[in-house]
Amino acid sequence: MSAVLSAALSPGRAAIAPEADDARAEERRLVDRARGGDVAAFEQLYQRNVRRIFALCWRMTGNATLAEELTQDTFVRAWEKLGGFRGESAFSSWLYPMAVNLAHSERRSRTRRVARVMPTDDLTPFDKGTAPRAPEASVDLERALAELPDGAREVFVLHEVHGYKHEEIAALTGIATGTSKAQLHRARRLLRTTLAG
Amino acid sequence: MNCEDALDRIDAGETDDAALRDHVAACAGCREALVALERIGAAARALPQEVEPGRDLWPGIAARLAPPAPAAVLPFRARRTVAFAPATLAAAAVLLIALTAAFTALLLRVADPVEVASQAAAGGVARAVAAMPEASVAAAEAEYVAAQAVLLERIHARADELGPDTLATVETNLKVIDAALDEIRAALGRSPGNPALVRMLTSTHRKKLDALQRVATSL
Repeated sequence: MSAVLSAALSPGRAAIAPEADDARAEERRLVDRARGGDVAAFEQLYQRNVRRIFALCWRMTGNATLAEELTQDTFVRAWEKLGGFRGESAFSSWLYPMAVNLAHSERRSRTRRVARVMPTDDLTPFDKGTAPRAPEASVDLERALAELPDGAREVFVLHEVHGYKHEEIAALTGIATGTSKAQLHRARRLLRTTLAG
Repeated sequence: MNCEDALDRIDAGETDDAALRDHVAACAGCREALVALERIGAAARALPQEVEPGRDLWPGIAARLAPPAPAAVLPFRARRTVAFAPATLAAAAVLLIALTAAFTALLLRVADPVEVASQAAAGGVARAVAAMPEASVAAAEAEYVAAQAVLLERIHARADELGPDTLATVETNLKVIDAALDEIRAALGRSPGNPALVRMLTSTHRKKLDALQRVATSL
C-alpha cells in the first residue's frame, strides 16, 4: 500500500492533520485519474502546482519567457512519466526535481549554443521577458537574482530560496558538490555587492 | 584574520568561527557585510514560493499531451533482480493467453456474446455496455483504465521480485494489448457506437484487467 493510501486510512494521522490528509487523498485521486488518461484531472493538478513550478523556473533562469516554456515542458514530462509516480511524496515534490533538471539542462545547452557564436558568457542580449509582478519588498532581490550569472543564480535559488543542500543540488544537476559551494559563494558576494550599493 | 579572509568566510557561510567573530567585532565594514548577507538570506527565504505566469500556459501543455494513457505501459524500474519465479512465469503465461484471446477477437471482428453477457452480469462497468452512447463508452473505458492503473502501480512497486525475462514478457504483452485497444478505438472512431466494437473494447479491457490482477496477486 502506498504511503498516501496508508496515510489516508490511518485514523491517527487523520486526527493530527485531517485537512492535509484530505488534500493528499484528493491529489492522489486526481493522479490516478490522470494516469488513466483523464486530461481534466491532470489540468487540476496543473492548476494546483503551476505557480510553484513557474516560480522555480523563473528564478532559476532569470527569464520569464524561458520559464514559461520550461514550466510547460515540466508538465508535459510529468504527464509522460505519471505512471512512475508512486505517491510516496506530494505531487509537487515529485515535480520539483523534474523542473530543476529541465531548467539546468536548458541552461547547459544554451550556454553551449552561445559559446559557439559569442566570445563572452554575457547573456544579457537575450530577451528576458517581462518580469512577473512581485511584492515591493522583494523586487530588488528578484532583480538582483535575475542579473546573476546563470550558474551562481541557479545554485543560490536552489540553496537559499528552496532549501536544497549542496549534495542534493549536485544530485539534481550533475555538478560537483564543490562547484555548488563555489557558485553559492560567488552568488552571495555578487548579491552583497549589488544590493549594498 | 584580515578583511579579505573574513569576507571570504562570510560569503562561504562559514560564520560560526571564533576568529571571524573577533574580526567582525572590531571591523565595521565586515560587520556590515555580515549583516547584509544575513538580510539577503532572510529575504531569499521569504520570497513567495508561488508566482503567477504572465499568460495561461495550459493550452500549450494540453496540445502536447499524447492521447494514450501515460500508465498504459508499465514503467519498470531500472534495477532488476535475476530471480526467475515460476509463479510469475505462470502469471505471464496467463497474460499471454489473455492477449491471444483479445487479439483473436480483434482479428476475427467477432464479439463473444456469452462473454459479453457474463461481463454484464458481473456488474460494474460492463453493465453499462449495452447500447452505449459515445460518452458512456469513454466513461466506462476511463474506469477500466483507472482500475488497471492501480494494478500497474502495485506490480510496479514490487517489480524487483520479477525476473528480467518475465518483466520483458509482461511488458511486451501489455504493449500488444494496448496496440489492440488502439486499433479498436480507431475503428470506433470510424464507426462511432458500433455495438460489436464497443463490446470488443470492453472485453479487451476486461481481459487486460484480469491478466494484470493475476500478475499482481502472484507477487
